[in-house]
Amino acid sequence: MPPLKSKIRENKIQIELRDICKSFGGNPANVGISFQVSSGEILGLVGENGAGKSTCMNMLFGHVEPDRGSILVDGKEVRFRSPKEAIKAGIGMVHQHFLLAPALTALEHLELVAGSDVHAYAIEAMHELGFDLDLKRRVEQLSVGQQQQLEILKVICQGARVIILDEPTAVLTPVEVGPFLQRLRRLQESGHAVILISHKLDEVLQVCSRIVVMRAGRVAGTFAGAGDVHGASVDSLASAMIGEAVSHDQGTVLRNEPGTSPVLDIVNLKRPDGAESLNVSLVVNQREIVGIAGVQGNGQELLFKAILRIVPRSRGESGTISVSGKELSGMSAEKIRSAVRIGVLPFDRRSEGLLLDGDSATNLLLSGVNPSSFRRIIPWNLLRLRAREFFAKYGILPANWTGHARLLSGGNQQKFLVAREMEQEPALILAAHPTRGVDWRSSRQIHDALLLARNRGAGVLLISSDIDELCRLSDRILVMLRGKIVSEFRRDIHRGFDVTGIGLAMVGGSKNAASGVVS
Amino acid sequence: MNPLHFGKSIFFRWPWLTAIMMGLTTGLCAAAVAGENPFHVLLIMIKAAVGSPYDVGMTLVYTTPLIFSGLSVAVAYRAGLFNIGAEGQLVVGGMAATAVALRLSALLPDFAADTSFSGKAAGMIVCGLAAGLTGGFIGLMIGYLRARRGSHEVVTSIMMNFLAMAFTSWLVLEKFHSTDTQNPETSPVGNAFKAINFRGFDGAPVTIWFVIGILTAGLIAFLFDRTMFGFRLRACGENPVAATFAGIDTGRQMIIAMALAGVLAGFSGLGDILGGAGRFRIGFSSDYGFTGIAVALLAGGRPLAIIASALLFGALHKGALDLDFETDHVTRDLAMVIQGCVVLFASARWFNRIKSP
Repeated sequence: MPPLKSKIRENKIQIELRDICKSFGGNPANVGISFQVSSGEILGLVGENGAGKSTCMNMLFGHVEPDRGSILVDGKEVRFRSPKEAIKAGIGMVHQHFLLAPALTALEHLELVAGSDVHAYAIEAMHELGFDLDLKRRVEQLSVGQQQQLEILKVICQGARVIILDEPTAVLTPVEVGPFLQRLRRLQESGHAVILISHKLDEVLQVCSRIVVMRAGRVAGTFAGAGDVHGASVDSLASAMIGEAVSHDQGTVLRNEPGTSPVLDIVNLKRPDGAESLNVSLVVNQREIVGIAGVQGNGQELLFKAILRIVPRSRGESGTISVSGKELSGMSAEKIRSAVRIGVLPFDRRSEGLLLDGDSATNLLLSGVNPSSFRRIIPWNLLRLRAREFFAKYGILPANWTGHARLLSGGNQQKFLVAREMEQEPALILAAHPTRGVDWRSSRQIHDALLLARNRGAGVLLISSDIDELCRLSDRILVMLRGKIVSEFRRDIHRGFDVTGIGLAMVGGSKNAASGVVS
Repeated sequence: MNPLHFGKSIFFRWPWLTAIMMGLTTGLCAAAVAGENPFHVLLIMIKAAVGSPYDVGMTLVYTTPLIFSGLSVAVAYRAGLFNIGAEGQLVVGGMAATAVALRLSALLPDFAADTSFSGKAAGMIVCGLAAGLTGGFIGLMIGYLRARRGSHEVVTSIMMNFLAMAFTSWLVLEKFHSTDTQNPETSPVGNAFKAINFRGFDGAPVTIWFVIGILTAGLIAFLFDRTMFGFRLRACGENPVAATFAGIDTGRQMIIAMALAGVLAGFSGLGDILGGAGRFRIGFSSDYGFTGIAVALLAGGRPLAIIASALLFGALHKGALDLDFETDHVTRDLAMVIQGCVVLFASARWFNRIKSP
């Protein structure tokens, strides 16, 4: 193999995406995406979940083919039918979840992808890029940061000149982030092109030369990065990500005055679980929807499961959770559900909410399974009647459905879940992403159902990655970051919520940081 | 009607029928390859299975344990578990019933000699309790290890099978060995403990346990279809995550399911042991526990279908016995070939169910 320096430096690369479109089952995921990146550049790619970043990168890496538009490598149009072809063209991708075998050594991994004569080349590359990695160690002996270096090294040894990194800092501890960003700069100096996908805007601003912001499948803006006088700020990126045009209309259901007696009261709930820690105090009152905003994976799911006691109590867990004045701390999941009425819209309706091979009566029964009804004979006919009633009342289609839940569409499955949970008149509703992947009209119906339940007296804890949804439904919004609630926003009667502020808080910025951003 | 379409519709509507027909055909083809006339073989098997009242009786005798072991596997299966340990549970259950009966026969000779209906009924209840409780205890252990300690139930139940075999052999040979025979069997239990036999089968020991088996199947069907108890088990089997979100303790349901499976398996051996000689003989079970897996699979885990499925495998077992001396080139092992093929085609049906509209 030729020496690294000459190899990279003489092989400059330029990649361009031109007007790329892709839709899945009629839902557009990418609409007219265009940008380019060339050697010696770090391009930041930011956007909310579902903004289309992954789809875009999957097309660049050959996982999926675009419907329209073209990808150009060094000015020549190419088509990648598989990742193999993308790798051949010099494109490499490091996924968020590593693809490594714990029992193999680092060197063995490199040999697997790049042949047995890779050793000297790898040593040289490591030296050049400032990697700190013992190739003779097995992967299970490496730290997460070193495993990540190995993944990058794998890609380089395969001859990649464009390296896509998907959320690379999400797995790193805070102290590892600094050195990692240093190594990114070395990669850039050695003539690689880097595409950095990240939710952490301050990091993106630190290292990227240009930043592409995506929103709802489109490029919402391209910003100059650090070092440029007219460079972006966390603030400008956040508002571009979220979009200024947040609709504040109230919908068809008017909200009445929030109550003051707490339905859910969490006091100093602490779980010292290393990567997934939790440190939360919050109150949800009657007739109140409390939204939890936050980038996915900052403890929202854990909080949800801790309330329901679906995750076992961890060592050193402390704090109390009460629902409707009943303290739940000592109770098992079963006890909790028979002691208080909680309506649950889980994160994944298919895997967590439904028996897909059961009919609607069976699925209706699922939420009524507490030990107090242990000896009851199941009234199937009654359940079938009620299911039909719910289908009519909530506009679930097809109306006379008797088949398996599996065959209902996603939106109708979700509406069914909403019907099932709301009709039990729960005191507390835990709703996670209630309209994810649901079309506009059904979303509206689900929102109305949640608001009606709120007006009736229920307290709702709403987790969502959709800021519009949070602003529309919530009476208060709490922002969660790394297992903690970092700020609270209240609905302003006239202007709704401070969307920019929420966006900032989600990524760890603040008003002060925004004005002076990044050195 | 287009014959192809007709075949397809039968295939999707009654997949079990397809499985049986294809399994039988494959087995008979194997017999043909071995040099037998397949129709001749089929005729011998049918005659041996249902040719005379005695043959019918023996078919029912073989069916009885299969109903219980099939139900045992099905209960676990519906709760998302695989009970491969029915064999061990039935051996231990049978041994416990025998041991209790023998001890009581020695302690209360008057009671043991009572052959009136009430005496027999009391004996049956005692034996049933002993068998059910011990079988259930083994199932409970397997379920506990799976739910709370994370050991896979297939591994632990296979291990339990070995322990069960070794332990019962030791008991038979060292503790309860019959004084009047060299065979590896216990002394006979008192008459009160011998199961009530039906007459009319020319001496084939069809016992009350056959009827209990059918009633139990009905009871299990009722539990699964009409009670919250059964629904909770089923929910765990169909989607444990959704069950957890609905507030069901899936671990506890696993333990309950395995314990119930153990109880049912524990009953399997009673018809054989208490119906005929009234002794526990080492190796009395001709793999009833394992055949139970085939029975449950063909029935798709539905309790009432298990009765039919057990009858089929019972008849197959009985029918194949005559092959040993009626044919030159095949033996009773042909039953195993057919059984294997039926299971294979019955399993393929799960795939079809998912794919078919």
